[in-house]
Amino acid sequence: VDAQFELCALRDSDAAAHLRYVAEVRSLTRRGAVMPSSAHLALGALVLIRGLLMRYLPHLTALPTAWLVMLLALRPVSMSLEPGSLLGGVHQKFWDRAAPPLLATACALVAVAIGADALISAVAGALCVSAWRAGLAAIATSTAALGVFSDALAMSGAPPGTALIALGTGLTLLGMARLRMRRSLA
Amino acid sequence: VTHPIARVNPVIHQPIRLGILTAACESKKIDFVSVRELLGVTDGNLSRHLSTLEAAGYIRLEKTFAGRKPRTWILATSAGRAALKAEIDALREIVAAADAARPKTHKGIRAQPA
Repeated sequence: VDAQFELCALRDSDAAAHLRYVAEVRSLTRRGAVMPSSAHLALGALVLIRGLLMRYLPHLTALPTAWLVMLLALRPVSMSLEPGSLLGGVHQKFWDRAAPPLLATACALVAVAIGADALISAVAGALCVSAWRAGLAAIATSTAALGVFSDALAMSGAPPGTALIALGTGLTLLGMARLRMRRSLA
Repeated sequence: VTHPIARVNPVIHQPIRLGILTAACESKKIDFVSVRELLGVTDGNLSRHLSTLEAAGYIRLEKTFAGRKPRTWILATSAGRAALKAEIDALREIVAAADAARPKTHKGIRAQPA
């Protein structure tokens, strides 16, 4: 009876408030699944380290191995960054899981076709789409702009690794900024 | 043609239940603790609303164990997804109808409610 009474008193402003609430819960749930801040931090750090190695230790023979080890460490590192968060408690829907690798592949192919850096384009594309799907438009736009800037830097003939250092630094800073923001409705 | 208010679902119109169903529909599955943190509710309150949604057939609860710790997963059913979609459509129609009925100002901008 109470519920029916509430419905009778429903105004358009209440309906609009409910719609805003649904949109916010959707964004927060996706954010809990995608973890854009951890992804930016972890991938940013990996790209930065790879850029620094390419720039200052180009003859390091262990470079491919180090890259592989860092990739394998990505998941545990991102898990330790957000303890007590939604981590592990939200299983992604198919498109949330598939969108970043699909866009990364598409960006890498376009980059190869136009002579840009495939790694930069793939990383920026994947992080951009995951931030966008998490409802973080500003982070997504900044990531895309950072990717374009880094690609332009690589294409302009900057020393090896410089573009990766720029992208890695930018992504890490974006991730750190995002981590400081509020994560919960509570 | 029924007024959109008649199509608002009393089971999921309650904000916490609306939040639970939205979170469940937005993921493949979501655990009890995550929903509790997301919505800022107590264990007892959440359990009660979960029971209501489960009884209506909108969600399914899955119990697993992580070591010795029990873990409850919340999954949206197809009926739950359909109900959420219908609820959102009805809410949108209410907002649109009110917006259309609102008098326009001299610049053609609709007046906002007080």
